[in-house]
Amino acid sequence: MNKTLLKQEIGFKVPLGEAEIEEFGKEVEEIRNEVMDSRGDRDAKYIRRLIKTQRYLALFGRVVIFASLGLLPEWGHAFASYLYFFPVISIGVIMLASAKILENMEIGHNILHAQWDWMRDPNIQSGSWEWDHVCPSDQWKHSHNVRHHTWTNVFGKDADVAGYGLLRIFPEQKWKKFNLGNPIYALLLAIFFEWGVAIQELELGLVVTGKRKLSKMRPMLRNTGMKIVRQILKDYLLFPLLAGPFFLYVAAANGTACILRNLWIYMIIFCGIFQKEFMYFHVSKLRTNPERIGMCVNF
Amino acid sequence: MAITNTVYQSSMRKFSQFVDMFAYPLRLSHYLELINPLWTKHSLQAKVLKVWDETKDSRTITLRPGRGWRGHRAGQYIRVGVPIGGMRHTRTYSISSSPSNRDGCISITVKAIKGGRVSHHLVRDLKVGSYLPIGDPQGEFVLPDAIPVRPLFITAGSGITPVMSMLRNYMREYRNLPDITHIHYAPHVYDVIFGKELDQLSKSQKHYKLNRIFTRELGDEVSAKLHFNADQLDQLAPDWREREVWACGPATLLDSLEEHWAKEGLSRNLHLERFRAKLAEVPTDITSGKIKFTKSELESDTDGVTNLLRVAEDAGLNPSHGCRMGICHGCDCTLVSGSVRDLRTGAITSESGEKIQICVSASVGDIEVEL
Repeated sequence: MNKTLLKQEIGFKVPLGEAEIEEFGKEVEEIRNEVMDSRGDRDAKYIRRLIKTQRYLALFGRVVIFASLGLLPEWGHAFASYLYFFPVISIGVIMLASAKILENMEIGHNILHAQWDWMRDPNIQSGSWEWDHVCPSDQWKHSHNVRHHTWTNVFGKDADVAGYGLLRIFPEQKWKKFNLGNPIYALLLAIFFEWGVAIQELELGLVVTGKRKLSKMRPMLRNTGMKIVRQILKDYLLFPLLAGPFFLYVAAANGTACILRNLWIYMIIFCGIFQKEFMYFHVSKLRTNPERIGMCVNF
Repeated sequence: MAITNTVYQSSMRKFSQFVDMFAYPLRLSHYLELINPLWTKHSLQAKVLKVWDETKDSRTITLRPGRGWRGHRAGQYIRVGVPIGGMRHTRTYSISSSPSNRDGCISITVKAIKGGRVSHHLVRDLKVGSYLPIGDPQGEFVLPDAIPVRPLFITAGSGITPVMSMLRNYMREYRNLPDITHIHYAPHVYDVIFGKELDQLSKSQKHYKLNRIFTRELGDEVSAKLHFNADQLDQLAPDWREREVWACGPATLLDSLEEHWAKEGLSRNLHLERFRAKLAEVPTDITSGKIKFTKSELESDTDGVTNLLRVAEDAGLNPSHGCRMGICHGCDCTLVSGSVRDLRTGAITSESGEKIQICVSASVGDIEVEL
């Protein structure tokens, strides 16, 4: 099969012919084996150090946020001024946001990919790890590991490529009047990204259109609900309550840290992956193995 | 007193659950670990305090267990996680120290076995100050608490370890030993683990009769005759029929003990502790075999080619899974025994307790899977 044929059949540009794709596949496999064989103490030290760093960041971020409350003008001492308060609380917020970003992207994401299962450390296992995010790990593993990574960039299977059912990103997505709000949706999605991830996995659209019964959704809803409650309790109730009269400052600081994390992750995904040269596929047109390899090459 | 205790405990538990809500999805324990790994509650660890070479190939490791340690009974063993090359290998070792050690420390004694990567690592490379994950004490190889017994100890090589814990416990609790006969096998006099301590006990304790047999001292020809046999037993412990026996050592010794005591109809006097040495033979050919699903108690045949997810489904099970092609790890489950082959790489896994991706694994011979 030559390049033009492939292009006609699948309806998009594949830069490689079949033999080249085979060859490429072999080389990728070799890299994989090389990496797998090189796993050892160095990697174990890396993830353990990373987890430690992240926990220190989270801990001290919160400590700094609370310490900054002592600089509020109400106290009346020499340094009690917004001039000191805001820089200090910002440092705390940035530390907490960094902790959340590390936890989600470099620790949680990778552990939930089973990347660290080989160490056989029961505390760092894909099966039991729960991350600092409103989407429960097991449900995220389904939408990410199963749907996104098995069907990378395939329309109709991978929700990521279809703008999570909210955004219109590619010309292949049918234009609807709804899409007029795209810039606003994109902004809201960026700010509340973690909520978008949690809700998207529930596929509530199927319930609304009657394709799925609500009763079948109950265990999943309960699971997500419990996760959301615990996340909200921690960041927006318990820690703020600890601050007594300064409840709102702490709640706002935690909320800002969560939003900073959301913006960061949104940027990584939308600016890092969905680029102009990005390749995407249609599920009904994928037939042969080389096409599938081509699909993964792009990721 | 008992009631206030339970009230106290349950309110402490509620309080710690409340504090954990601040640390969600982790627990407070994960943050305490940053300060001292021995303070954790979510996993039990022990700090290596001292290493002491007992013989040329065995070493006693003194451990300080973390807060969750609830004490052991003399004769019990623990699981020890040993990280080598970043990967955790879990082995079980009998505790050789007395449970009533005042400093709260325990010790295990490890013999470097031939070709044993983990035991070699423990004997040669383990560093003082490092932390090892450990499990709770386990095992029924213990002396009865209330009834006084006249034990006959039969040990060989590093099989001395659980019995040493019992002897030390007697000494700690009662200052002397009761009527004990002990037969210990070792290749040479310099191979006896705890040799000096046993010597001293046999000299100072008049009711403790220690018989040491050095099987290799006189060359290979004699050595077979020195292994356990009926005449030897009659000679060293003429009253063996009246004694309750605790024996620990290699499988060959324990098998012949089992046979001998069964012949006399005295099997219930015999308490055995086997080394859980894993000598899984890995068949080289692709072979069919039986597969046992341990949770659902089902059995099925496998051809050694079909992936285990499919085999499980054909057997009527519905294991959770995702991609069916080794990407998503949605079907991971625990290998209980036997070997599996990764259908992608051909790599063989035979470590029980390891997580396997059943959608891309086929059995090699008979296996058991937790499903």
